[in-house]
Amino acid sequence: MKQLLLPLALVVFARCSPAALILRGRTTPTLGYSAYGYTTLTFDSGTDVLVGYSETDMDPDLVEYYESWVIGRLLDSNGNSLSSGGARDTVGAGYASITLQYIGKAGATYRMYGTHNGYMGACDCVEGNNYYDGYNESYWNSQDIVDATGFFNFYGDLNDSPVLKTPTITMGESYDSATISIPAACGDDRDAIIKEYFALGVTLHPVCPSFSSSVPPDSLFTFSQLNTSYYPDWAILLNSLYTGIRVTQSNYGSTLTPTSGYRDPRKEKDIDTQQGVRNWTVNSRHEYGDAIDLGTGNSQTKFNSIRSAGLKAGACAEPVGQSGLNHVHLDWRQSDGVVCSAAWLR
Amino acid sequence: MRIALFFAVCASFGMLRIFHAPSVFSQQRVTSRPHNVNTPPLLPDSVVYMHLFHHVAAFGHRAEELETRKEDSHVYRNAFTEKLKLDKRQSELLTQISYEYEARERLIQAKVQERVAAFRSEYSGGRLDPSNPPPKPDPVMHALFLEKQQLILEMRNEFEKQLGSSEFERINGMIRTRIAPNIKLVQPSALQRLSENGEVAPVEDPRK
Repeated sequence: MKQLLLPLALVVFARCSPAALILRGRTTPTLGYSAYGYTTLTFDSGTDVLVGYSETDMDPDLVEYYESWVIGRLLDSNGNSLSSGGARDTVGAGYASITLQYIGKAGATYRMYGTHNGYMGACDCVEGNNYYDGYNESYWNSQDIVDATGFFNFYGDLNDSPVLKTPTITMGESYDSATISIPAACGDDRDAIIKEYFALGVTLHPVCPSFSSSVPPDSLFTFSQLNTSYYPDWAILLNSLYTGIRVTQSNYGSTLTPTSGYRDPRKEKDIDTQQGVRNWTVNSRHEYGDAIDLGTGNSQTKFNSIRSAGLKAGACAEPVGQSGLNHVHLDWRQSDGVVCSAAWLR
Repeated sequence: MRIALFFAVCASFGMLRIFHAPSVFSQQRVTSRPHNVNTPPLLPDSVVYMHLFHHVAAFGHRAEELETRKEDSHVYRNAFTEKLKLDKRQSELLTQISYEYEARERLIQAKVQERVAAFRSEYSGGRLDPSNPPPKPDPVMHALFLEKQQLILEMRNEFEKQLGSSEFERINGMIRTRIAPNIKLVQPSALQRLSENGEVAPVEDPRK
């Protein structure tokens, strides 16, 4: 009977908490503490970065006997280890945590496992080092009893109390998983532009249809005039921009000259950096496709007239103190439900 | 016979866990779901917020490291913004409170470390006297446990106060559904204990 049961015992061993064991000949120990494991896996869709985090926590009243120890493993769907690491609390902090990072692939499933251990510091250090704690918790643990006889005896009728033979007690495991299902790539420069939005922290997260490669027939300006990004074939150009430009030119009564239109985030950052702007405009409306800069030839009169025409067309207009005299910046963010400051409206 | 019965019960639980394991999910761009089936239905706030504060502080420090090296840090900066649907102010507030918690937790840890050092000096190298039972737990450590719990709840209340009750209610709901299920009680003796006559008895934490 023992021979039949042993393989089953080994199979279910990992699934049964040691607490479920029936141990004879001992009285109830005092329960003194709690320990928790926490594991989570997050995915950043802009950079395809997976970040796994795992933590083992022990109550302070347990730290006297145990050091928290966590082992984190980031696995793919086939169980292959992609990244792993461990951390042990050797200073009495009460917890240990590990952060793992990995670049994921579209369509794949990943799993982060945390194994939560306690590392015991108290043993009798004779007769093969028997480890104990003041809660008698170590008596309940059989994890180092690996030979069949000992394993079986532990669950059987032996009166001997099993004790922990190694300083490590594995308390449990927690895990989290993430399935990455990125939409099909655009297959052209838009993929690179979209990544810039994520990588540079722009709030807008455009998708393939957000971009166009031409302008409508009634546009006053050509596509290349409105697209001043690093990518000549694609730009975000909103309808509010086309309408705003038409109404502004009508109000102004003369031909307007665009100097800048759509910018991808990298272009925006480079321009701001070149101009000595300390904190570049992460969420510039030029990245949103509803902004345009119109040339003034450094004429104050022209600047005022164009700016006034833009304001009447419902634009947010940058004050001269911020833009300088050589161009008027107009944008139609209000059509996007975004408010601009009072100085941009007078 | 009792042995066979025991393993049969364990095997049944093992099979139940297999059949109840969530399938791979792919309805959304990114799905993340905890799998800790042993998680108690409602963990106390002190446990949930402790993990949250630790996690937020760890990611905050990681982001700072990357920013010092002029590397992209937004994966760490935005992790909780997306997970808990926070705006910029709320995200900054959570980080600030987590940092404050961490700093004050260190003060408690310093007291814990003192006791641990005293214990270890009494039992040099962790060596116990084999002829005597292990020393009883230090009651001061339990007092420090309570102090830490109190601190966590204080910082949670501060988070609520700064957010306002309606926003806190929304965010606390997100924390309960997106953070708490990933926390698992891992104490091996948590499920049951022996009674004096050697039979399995439910566990009750005497501190409660």
